Amino acid sequence: MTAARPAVELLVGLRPVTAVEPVLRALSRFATLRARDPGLPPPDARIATSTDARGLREALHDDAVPVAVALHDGEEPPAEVAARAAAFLVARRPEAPGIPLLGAPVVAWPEPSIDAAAHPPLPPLVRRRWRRLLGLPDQFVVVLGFDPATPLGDRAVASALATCEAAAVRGRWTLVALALGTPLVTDASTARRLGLRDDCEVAVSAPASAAAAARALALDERRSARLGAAARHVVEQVHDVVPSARAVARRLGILAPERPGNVLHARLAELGTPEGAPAAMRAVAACEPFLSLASVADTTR
Amino acid sequence: MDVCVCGAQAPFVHGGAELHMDNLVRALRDAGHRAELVRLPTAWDKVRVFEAALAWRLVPIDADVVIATNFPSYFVRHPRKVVWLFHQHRIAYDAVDAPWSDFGLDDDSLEAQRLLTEWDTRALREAEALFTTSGVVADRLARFNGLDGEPLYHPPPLFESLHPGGTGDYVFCPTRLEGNKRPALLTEAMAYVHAPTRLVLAGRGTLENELRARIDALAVADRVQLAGFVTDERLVDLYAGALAVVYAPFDEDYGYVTLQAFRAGKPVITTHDAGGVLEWVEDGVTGFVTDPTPEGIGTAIERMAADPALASRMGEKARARVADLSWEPVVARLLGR
Repeated sequence: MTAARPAVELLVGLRPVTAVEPVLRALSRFATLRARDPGLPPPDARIATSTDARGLREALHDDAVPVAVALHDGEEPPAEVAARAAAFLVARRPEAPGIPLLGAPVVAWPEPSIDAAAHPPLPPLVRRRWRRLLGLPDQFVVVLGFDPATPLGDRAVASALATCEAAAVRGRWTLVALALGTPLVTDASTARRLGLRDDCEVAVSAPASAAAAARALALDERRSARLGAAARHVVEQVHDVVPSARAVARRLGILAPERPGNVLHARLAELGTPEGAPAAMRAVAACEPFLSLASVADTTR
Repeated sequence: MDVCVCGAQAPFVHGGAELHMDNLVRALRDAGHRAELVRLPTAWDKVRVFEAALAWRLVPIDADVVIATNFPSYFVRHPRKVVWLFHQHRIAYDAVDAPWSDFGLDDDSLEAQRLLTEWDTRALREAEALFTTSGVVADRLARFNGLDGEPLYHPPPLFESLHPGGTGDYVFCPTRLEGNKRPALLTEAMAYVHAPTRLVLAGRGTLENELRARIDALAVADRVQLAGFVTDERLVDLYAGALAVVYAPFDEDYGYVTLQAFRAGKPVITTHDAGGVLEWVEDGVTGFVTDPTPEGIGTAIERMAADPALASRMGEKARARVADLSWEPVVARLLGR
């Protein structure tokens, strides 16, 4: 069943790679990313993190290996790049005027974005039981980015957001909180920037009363559950970077072809099952002989 | 319209859920549709519940509409999926701390509980319409999954046959003799009843021997009758002749017993923690709602026995309360009409 992971070579220029980092991180689910190295066998695909990337020109003339090229801030690609790239990678920002029409397909990823599968949601009942297991107080509310903030080191933030009853968050942790299904209070500008509606996905509050609003939200079991589930849903629909990475992989021809046996994996994925979850492993183990047969049949056609 | 009703099968168990599914299929057919019941075996332990859910995910069903009912049948995939939720896997939710739950307070159990909630939320959200059998089930759905479900009430089995009768010398309780139905609580309540009133318990279950021993220990054998299995005809007669019905399950989803009692013109004595029963029984109007203690229930039985006229008046109000229940509007709502 296991096939060799495809290799994707990164071509880097002067522009910062950080702008492309979210989609590259997510792409590592499907392929091994590596630096340019003439000593290695040819890769299955290449990604140039900017139009000034070293080696891009010769890569575009290597017809055996497709190249995707990242564009920055409404940049128009040079004619040669426009003519020969297999795909363009563009960040989709809410304030951006739109994505330019180009010769090659454009794969956009949301900005800001998050790997939703890497931040599984925790519903209120499970949060409550984790608090009990960890000996945390049941009335546990996290405040980040508002005054007074909960004193937390970076490494503790995700755990705190995953176990708290509700949180008031603005700033860089907001998307993590939403992905974790945290019943969330935020300010109006954060809500607007992330496309969140008051009392639909979050509770919007003035900064001065955000902590109090989070404490009130924690006491409302039904509203907490509704907002947490809706927050997670909007992250998957709008801010998840993995579908974009999958689209990049598909454009570059490195995504494993659909096989009959893959339906099991697809059904597990659509239910939000983490890779390696015991439920997934047992299901795959039960079907493995048949999945292998399907795989063999597919390769011998 | 071709409609497949989907439901879980717990082999060798035939209770309220099975009757509900059968009656839904019958009501759909009566409304002129082709209807079939599709059932898959399930398991209740925390490992195999996922496999049971996934099995539904992989079953192809060709029908115009599917109506999924209980866990895990709502994992069925269909472009027109309607869910009429009887219940979820309760030992992962409201009953997680119950002695019979295998979801402990450890890493693996918490992840299994998290994943099951996530699966449930996704599968239920797929439905083009989400109904529940009662407000209690809708409330659980809101608190645990953040989803809105519309309660859709339906008539219980034997609805057309049940009728009022006299006010006899017994209180009646048809129920499975299982822990969540708390038959022992009713038996113990009889120790607090001094009026010449009997308790008739109809039904079978795993607690039967334990219950007989308890009856002997309490020395109430002359006033507690275990009637065992009774036919539908006998059931109708027992309802009709009772002074009142006493029914005190723990957090019931819906509770046919209440509706059948009301249809038979009988008030219901129940407890504050009986769940769906409380959507129907109004304390002092259509019955009594007491503490879930033998003394509380016993005192309520005493009050009924002391004033049969009160029991009759409550019974009339109870019968009026369920007079409008019918399958026709249920079928219309489920099919979006």
